[in-house]
This record gives sequence, structure tokens and C-alpha cells, in this order.
Amino acid sequence: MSESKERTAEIVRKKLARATAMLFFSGHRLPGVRGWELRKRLGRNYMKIVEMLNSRLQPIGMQVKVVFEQSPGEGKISEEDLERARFYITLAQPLSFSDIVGSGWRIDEVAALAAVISYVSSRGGKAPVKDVQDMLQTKFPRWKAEAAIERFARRGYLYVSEDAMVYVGWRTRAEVDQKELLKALMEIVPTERQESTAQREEASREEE
Amino acid sequence: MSRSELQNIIELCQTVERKGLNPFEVDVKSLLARLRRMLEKAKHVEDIVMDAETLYRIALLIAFQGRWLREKASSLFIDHQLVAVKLAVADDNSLAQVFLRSWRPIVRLEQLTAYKARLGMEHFLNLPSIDRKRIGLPSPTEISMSEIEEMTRAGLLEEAWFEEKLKQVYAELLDQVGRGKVDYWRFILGKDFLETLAKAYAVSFLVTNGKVDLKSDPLTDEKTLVVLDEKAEGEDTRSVAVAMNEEILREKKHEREQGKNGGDS
Repeated sequence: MSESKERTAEIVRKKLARATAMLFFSGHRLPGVRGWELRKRLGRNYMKIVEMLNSRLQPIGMQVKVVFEQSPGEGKISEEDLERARFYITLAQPLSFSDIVGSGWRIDEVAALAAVISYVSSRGGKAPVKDVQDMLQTKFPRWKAEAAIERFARRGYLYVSEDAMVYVGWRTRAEVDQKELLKALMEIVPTERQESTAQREEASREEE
Repeated sequence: MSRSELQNIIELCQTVERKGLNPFEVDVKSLLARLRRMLEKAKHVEDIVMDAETLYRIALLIAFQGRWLREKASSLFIDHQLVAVKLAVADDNSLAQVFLRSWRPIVRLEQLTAYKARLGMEHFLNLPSIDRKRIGLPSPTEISMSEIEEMTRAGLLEEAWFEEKLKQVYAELLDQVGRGKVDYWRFILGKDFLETLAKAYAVSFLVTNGKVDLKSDPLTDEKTLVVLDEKAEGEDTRSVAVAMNEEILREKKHEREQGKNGGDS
């Protein structure tokens, strides 16, 4: 390898290390970095470094996620969109049930989060606090519903405005595929039906 | 149409947008027709201004209708009432499983990487030096023992380094006295305060380990170090506090130079 190629490889290695440090470690309250911050530290071709980092993260189950301020149209991502977007590193594969239990989440907590996000998403990304509480109270006691909304807002999954409206928060935009969530929700077979099917099967076995 | 009616229309448009209600439930056509009639009859400038404001709010509502349609189309036309019904009948496990399919949590570090630590170090070294004495700061070499312990605990100082230091001090002690004894101060006094402290610190560990014994004469206040043949096993153990600061060390150095306290005893 010629000297200039070695030098280029060294520069790329350094930029990769810099991008990794920027994306993984954040001294701010919010994780992730803006596109313009990456451009400032990595240079004009920062997206190439990001793509390179992404290809190295994929085999170990992680990915670079780009969250745009406003979703750009198909194939119309401009420089400006990228610079204003926020870049995160997220897991690339879904977690298993045991993973989340092991990481300290409770099943009912995850269920409440799923319910709130899908409800607010289905209402175009915002809904009155009271409606969200009423929806949660179909499954949880009132105190638990209120505490859940407050906790999810603190973690960034929701944003509760002063005029008592619940919005989808920055963390939801970064971590949750809302379309996939709604699609999966529509595929749920109600528990009663599952039970009745099970009961039917049991009954048929008894008959036999 | 009175001004209060116009005010109601404005509030209606604002509420629909703010609360994200279905904007198609508002009959925009009839509102516009009523506005037109009002404009034709309007005599005062205030009425016309109010009419224009209402028209603006209706225009915003129409824009919201467009956005609402786009959002509905992108979210597969799933009605929130249908979602609410699904949520009500689903059990916690199903909901959690559904969520896991669409959830990719952020991965972040809450501690420094080696790269960042190096950057921080480079930055620190590039900082201009300050006149520490002038602003009353201690000299950078005045590191307290507790700070060393703290740094060792935090992993900033290598334990291996310390082990090496202990071996070195023990070998030096053996070299000086063999299996005999030596005056404590004579042994620990080094070139500077930091070296003396480091040696005293190492000796305290050797004493605690039972490899060396520290004998203290309460009458003369003489302290001697004795290398033990066998590792002492916790019998008759007690703590000995040895005060140490720069002044005491200067005094001990002076005594040593004058030969008052020198020689193996």
C-alpha cells in the first residue's frame, strides 16, 4: 500500500473513531447528535463515514438511525434535511421477551407504553391527556395510568404540553417504528377469542 | 351574523387543530357561505377585519385537513377508535410482544471512551499553566494518600504498578537491613516529599501484610522496621498512626544529617 493510501486509511480510521465516540457517548441530557455537528467534526463527506460505521455496527446487532425533523418525501433527502436530522445508534434487531425483563422493564409497563404510543400515533401524533388516561384506565387503575404517562414523558417517549395535550416524544421517534406498531396491533387476536378457541379445542378433546 | 358568532367559528377552528380532532367534521362550505353573506352586509371596518381573521382561521383548518389526510394515509388508515378497541381487548403480554416488534432502543454510553479520555488529556495538557501559589492552590505534587486510594479504587492508577512498588520497597528494605531492623524515618526518607509519601504508603502495606513489623518505643518515640522471617498471622495486632507532613519530614531529614538518629539499631 502506498504512503498516501495509508495516510487516507489512517484518516478514515480516526474519523470512524470520532463518529463512534460522538454517537455513543453524549454529555448532553439527550443522546445522539445532529447532522451539522457530524459535518463539523467529520467533514463534508460525513455521511460516508456514517454509512461505514453503520456497516460495521450491523454485524453486532446495531445500526445508525437517522431521525428527520420532518419526514422527507421518497428519495428527496436534501443536505439540509440531513443536517437538521438527529443521528442515534439503536439496536438493529427486536428484543426478546426475556431481554426486556432482564433489562428491568416490567411487562405491564411495556404494555402501557405500547398502548399509549399506538393510541397517540393513531390520532396523528397528539391527543388530549384526558383521552389517553381514559384509554389507559380500561386496563390499569387511575393512579397507575397517571404515573405511566408521567414516567414515559420523563423518559422522552411522550411530550405533555402545558395545554394538556400528549405528543409523541423524541425517543419514540428514534426508537419506535410507529407504522409497524399499529400494523402489529391490528394483527392481535383478542384474548377472549384465544381462550374460546382453547376451550373449544379442549371441549372437542373431551368429546373424543 | 354577529361578531360573537365569528369569534365562535375562530375558536372552533383553533380547537379542532389544537386537539387533533377530525377536521372534516367541520362544514367548511357552509361557514364560507355565511362569511360571504356577512361580508356583503358589513359596514364597519372592524367587522371586515373580524371577517378576514375568520377566513384566515378557516384557511388554516383546510390546511390541517390536508395534513390530517396525509397522516391518515401514511398510518394505513387506522382509526383511533379501532385502535382503542384493540387496546382494550388485548392482554399485557400481547401488547408487549407487539411493541417488541417495532422497538429498537437507543444504545448509548454513559461513561468516557478511551478516545474521549485521550482528547480530554490532550486538552488538559494544552491548557496554559497558572500561577498556583498566587491564587492559593496546592502544588500539583501534593497528592494525598486518600486521593491515591481513591484513584486506585476508580481504576485510574494501576494496581499492578502498586504491587511492583511494594516488591521494590521490600527488596530495598531487605537489602538495607537483611533480617535485622532499621529506623523507620531513615528508611522512608526519599529525595522529595512525594517519594517519601509513596515509600511510607508502601511500608504501611508491608506492615499490614505481616512481612514487616513496625516497633514503636513510647518513651523515645523511636520507630523501627523489622523484617520478619515468617509472615505474622494476626496476633497482637494494633494500629500505629504516623503523622507526616513536609515540616516533620524536614525535621527528620535534618536530624538524619546531624547523625542524631542514624545507623542501624
